[in-house]
Amino acid sequence: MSVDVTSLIALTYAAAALLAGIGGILIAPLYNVAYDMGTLFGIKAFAVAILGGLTNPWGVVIAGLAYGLVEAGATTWLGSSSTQIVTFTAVIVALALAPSGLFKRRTKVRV
Amino acid sequence: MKAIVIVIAALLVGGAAAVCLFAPGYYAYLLGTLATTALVGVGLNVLLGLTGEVSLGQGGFLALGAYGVGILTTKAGLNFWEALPLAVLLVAAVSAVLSIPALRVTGPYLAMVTIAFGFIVESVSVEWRGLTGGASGLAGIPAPFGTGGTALLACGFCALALALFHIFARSPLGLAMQATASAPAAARSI
Repeated sequence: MSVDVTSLIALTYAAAALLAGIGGILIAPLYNVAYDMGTLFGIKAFAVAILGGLTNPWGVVIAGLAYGLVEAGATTWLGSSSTQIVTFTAVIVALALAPSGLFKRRTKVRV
Repeated sequence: MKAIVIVIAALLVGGAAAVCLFAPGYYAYLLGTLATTALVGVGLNVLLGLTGEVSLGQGGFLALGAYGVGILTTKAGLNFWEALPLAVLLVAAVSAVLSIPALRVTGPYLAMVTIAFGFIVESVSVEWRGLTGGASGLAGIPAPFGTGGTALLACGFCALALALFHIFARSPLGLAMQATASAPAAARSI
């Protein structure tokens, strides 16, 4: 049995795009829609995926919740001007402490 | 072979000098922009070209250098040549701090650390209005020479960086970096 790599990659990409599209549909009523709003959400999503450990979907969910809490806390207590500074600093510190994400499943690298 | 290289180099130097000093100012501005962009590219190539690791926060370091010179000349009253080494020291100090988390991660994790750094620099430079001028930025930064001379200076730095990169890529450290890119396990075992 052979694996059709090209169509699998296309399918994966379609699934990722579909989920991002659903995310956009849910965000639209909460925020004002603007032409440049995607960049920050995309970067936040990448940060959360990386923090979750990329291979662990439940880790990504937990990392997303943690990121949201840090973001909301920074906005509430330190003001909205410091939100991004605090959250992205937190991302860097978290990756320094856990270099392959917080919840990465153990995979063995064979040499 | 050697002679051809020397002739081409001489033509490039002569062409850059002629454009910067004799052509209308806009062409000098374009050439200066070109040289500056190439300079950042050479810096990125040390990481991406030799070790194969991705940095997406290089713009953050560019901004630090630019704001360093801008703030030191307009707020602290230094001239360009006094501000230059101090701005270089600032960028080196910040990158030394960033290297603590950056050295622990590779691949997409390093990309994330560098993106986050870029966003932090952007946020700080927008929000710290008293120092950076906020969203409207800093104006009236004194140039070391006129437009042409400054563009020629940028070309000089770019040529210097290319020459140093050429030497560095063939040095033991440069070769070790390339070995790390193509076979990390094998490179570790030597």
